Amino acid sequence: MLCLTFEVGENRYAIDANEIIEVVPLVNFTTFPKAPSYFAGRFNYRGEIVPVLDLKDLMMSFQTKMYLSTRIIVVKYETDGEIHQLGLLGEKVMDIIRIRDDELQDPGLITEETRYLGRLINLKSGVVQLITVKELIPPFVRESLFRDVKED
Amino acid sequence: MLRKLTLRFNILLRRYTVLTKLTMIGVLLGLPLTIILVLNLFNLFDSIDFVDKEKTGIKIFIPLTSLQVHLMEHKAYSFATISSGVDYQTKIAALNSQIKDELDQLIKINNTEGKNIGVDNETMNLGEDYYLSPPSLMAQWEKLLSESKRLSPGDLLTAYNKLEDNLGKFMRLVTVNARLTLDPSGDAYHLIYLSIHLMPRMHDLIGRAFIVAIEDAQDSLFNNERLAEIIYLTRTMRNLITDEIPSAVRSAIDLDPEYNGRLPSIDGVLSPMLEHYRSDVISILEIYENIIRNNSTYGTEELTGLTTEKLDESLDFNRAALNELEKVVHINYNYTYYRIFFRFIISVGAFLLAMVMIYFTAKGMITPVNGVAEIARDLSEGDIQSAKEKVFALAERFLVSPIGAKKEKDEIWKLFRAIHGTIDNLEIILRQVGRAGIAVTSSVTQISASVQALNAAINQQAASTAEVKATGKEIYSSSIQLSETVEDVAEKSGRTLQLADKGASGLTEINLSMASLEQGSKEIAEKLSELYKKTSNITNVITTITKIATQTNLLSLNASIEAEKAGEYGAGFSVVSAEIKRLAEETAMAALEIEETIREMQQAVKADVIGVEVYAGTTRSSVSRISGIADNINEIIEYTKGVLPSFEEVSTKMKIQTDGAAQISDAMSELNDVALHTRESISEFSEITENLEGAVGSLREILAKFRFGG
Repeated sequence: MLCLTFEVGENRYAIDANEIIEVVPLVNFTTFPKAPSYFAGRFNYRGEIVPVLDLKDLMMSFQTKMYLSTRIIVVKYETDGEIHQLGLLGEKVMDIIRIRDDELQDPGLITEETRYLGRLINLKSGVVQLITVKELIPPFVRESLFRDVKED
Repeated sequence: MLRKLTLRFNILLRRYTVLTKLTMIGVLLGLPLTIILVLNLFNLFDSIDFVDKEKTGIKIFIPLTSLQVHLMEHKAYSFATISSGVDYQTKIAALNSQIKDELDQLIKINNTEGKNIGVDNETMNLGEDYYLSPPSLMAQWEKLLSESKRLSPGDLLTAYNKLEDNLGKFMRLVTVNARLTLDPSGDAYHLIYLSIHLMPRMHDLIGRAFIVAIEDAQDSLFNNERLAEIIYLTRTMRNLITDEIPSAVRSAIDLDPEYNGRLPSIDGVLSPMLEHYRSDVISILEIYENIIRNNSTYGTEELTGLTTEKLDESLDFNRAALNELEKVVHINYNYTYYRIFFRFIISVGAFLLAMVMIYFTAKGMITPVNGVAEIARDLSEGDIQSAKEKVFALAERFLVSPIGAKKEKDEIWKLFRAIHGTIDNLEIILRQVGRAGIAVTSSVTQISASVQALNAAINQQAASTAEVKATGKEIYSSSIQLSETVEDVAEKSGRTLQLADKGASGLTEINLSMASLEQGSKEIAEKLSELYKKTSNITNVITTITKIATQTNLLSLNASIEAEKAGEYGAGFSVVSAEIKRLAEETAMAALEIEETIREMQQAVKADVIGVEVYAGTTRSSVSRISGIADNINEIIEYTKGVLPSFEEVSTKMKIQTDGAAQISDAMSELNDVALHTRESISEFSEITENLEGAVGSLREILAKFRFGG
C-alpha cells in the first residue's frame, strides 16, 4: 500500500494514495462564514470549488502553519454514494512510503470524535498513523457541507 | 303517663332473659286454656257421674220392674182366688218366694249401689221417704202377707194398692235420683221413656184392668163407674200399645246411630218382641173390650191365666228393653271415658308441646344471640380474628343455608349476615386506618425531621447573622482605620510630588547629551544594514532554489500517486518519479549548504560591527531609560496630582461605608430578633408536631388492640 505522509503538529499521519486525487500547492481560500473553524475555506481546483479541511485545527484546534511544505491534499470523499472532492490542509506533505499490511498495528484508543484515526505503523523515523478520509467530517456537518452539491 | 307506664313495663321485662319471658308468655296463654280444658274435663267427669247414676238406677230398676209385675200377679192370683174359688196356692207360693228373692236382691243392690243415687237405707232413713226404702217395702210386704188372710177383700186391695203405690213412688224416686229422664242422648232417652215410664204404666193398667174385670165378673150388675174405668183403661192401653210404645221403640232405634253408635241388638231384639207383644196385648184388650160390652166368654180362671201370661210377656219385653238400655248407657259411659282421655291428652299434650316449642325457639334465638353478643365483645376488644372464627362456627351450628345464600326468612340468618358484613367492613376500614396511621406517622416523622432541620438552619442563620453582625462591626472599625490611612497617604503624596519635580529637571539635561551619542552609532548601523542587504540577495536565490526543489518534490509526489493509480502500467513511471524525488532532495541539500555558508559570512560581518552595535545599543538604551525615568517621574507627578482629589473622595466614601456598616449591624440585630421569633414559632410548631405524633401514637395503640387474621 502506497501512502502519502504528512505531519499534524508533531505527529505523522498517512493517507492511502488510492484515495488521493492530487497534491496541490497552497493557495488562498475563500472562507466559510460561521462554519466550524476546522473548515479553512474553499478554493478553485481545476474549475471546481472544493472545500478545504484544516487537519491541525480538526485534531488539535490550532491553525496549520503556512510552510512551503504545507500543501493541499485533494482526496475523493464518498458520501451517500456520491464522490466529492475534499481538500485536506497538512504540514510537511513531503514523502511517500510503501507499507505492508502485516506491518500495521491496532491503534488502541479511539474516541467517538476521532473515529478517522486508523491503524499504526512503527517506522525507524517514528510512528505513522493511517487516516480514514471518510470519517474526517462529522456526520451532522457532512450533510450540510455537500447539500448544495447534491441539489445540483 | 302512658309512656311512663310503658317504660316501667319495659324495664321490668328487661330483668328477665328471653327464655323466661317466652316461658311466661307460654304460661300466661297456656294456663287459662289448660284450666278451661280441665274444667271441661270436670264437666265430663260430671257426665261420667251422671251416666254412673243412670247405670245404678237401671240396675235397681230391673228388680223393681220384676217386683212390680210379680206383685201385680200376686194380687191377681189373690183376688182370683177370692172371686173364683180356684186354688192358686202353688202359684202364689211360687210368687211369694220370687217376690221375697227379688226384694232381697233389691235390698242387696240398693245397699251396695243405692248410695250413689241416695236411695240406700241410711240415706232414706234420715229423710221423709223412709217408708219407701227397700227394707221398709220388705216389711210392708211381709205384713201384707201375714195379714192377707184376715183382711177383707177391700182392705186387701187397699193394702196391695198401697204397697204398689209405695213401690211406684220408690220407682219414681229412683228415676228422679238417677236422673234417668234427663238423659241427653236420644236413644237412651226413648228407651228410658219406654222401660221406666211406659212399661210400668202398662203393667199398672193391665193390673187395674184385671181387677176391674174380676170385680165385674163377680158383680154382674151394671156398674157405670167400672165401665167408665175400663173404657179409660182399655183406651189408654190401646193408645200405649199402638202408639206410644212402638213410637218410643222406633225413635230409640232411629236415634241410636246418631248418639252412641249403632247398636244392632236394639232393632234385632226389640222389634220382633214388640210385634209379638203388641198382638198379645191387643188380644187381651179385645177381651176387656168384650167385657165392657158384657159379652164376656172368659171365666175368671182364664182371664187370670191370660193376664199373668201377658204380664210375664210384658215383663220380658221390659227386661229386654232395660237390657238394651243398659247396653246403650254402658256404651255412653265408655264413650265419655274416651272423651275424657282424649281431651286430657290433647290439653296436656298441647300445653307440653307449646312449652317445648317455646323452649326450643327461645333456645334457638338465645344461643345465636349470645354468640353474636360474644362476637360483639370480641369486636369491642378488637379481636377480629376470633370474631370471624366465631361467626363461622355459629353459622355452621345454626344456619341451614350458607352465609352466602341470597335470601332467607330466618332473622338469625339475617343477623349473621349483617354481623359478617360488619366484621368484613370493619376489618377493611381498620386496615385502611392502620395504613393511614402509618402514613401519618411517617409524615409526622418527616415533618419533625424537617422542623429539626429548620430549627438547625435557623440556629445556623442566627449564628451567621451574629457573624455578619460582627463582620459589619469589623468593617466599620476597619473603614474608620482605612479612612485615616487614606488621609495619611494623601499627605505623603503631596510631599512626593514636590521631590519628583526636582528629579525631573535633572534628567532632562542627561537626555540631551545622550542624544548626540546615539547619532554616531546610527551611522555605523546604516553601513551594516547595507552589507546585510547584499547577503539577503544571495538568500533570495537560495530560496528560489528551495522553492523549485519543493515543487519538484510535489511533482514527484503526484507522479508517485498517479503511478500507483495506474498500477502495473505505472511501475516504470514510479521509478522515474522516485528519481525525481531524490533529485529534488539533493537540490534542497545543496541549497541548504549554500545557505549555511552565507550565514557564516554574515556572522563574521556581525562580529566586526559588534562593538559599534553594543556601544550604540548601550547609548540608546541609556537614553531611552533616562527618558523613560523622566517620563515615569512626570507620570508620577501627573498621577499624584490626579490622585489627590481622589483621596478626598475615598475618604468621604469611606465615611458613607462606615455608616452603611452601622446600618448593616442594626439590620443584623433586627434579623437576629426575627430569627429568635422564628425559633420560638418553630418550637411551638415542634410541640404541635409532637402532639400530632402523640395522637398518631394513640391511634396506633387503639389499632394495635385489633387483631387481624392472616
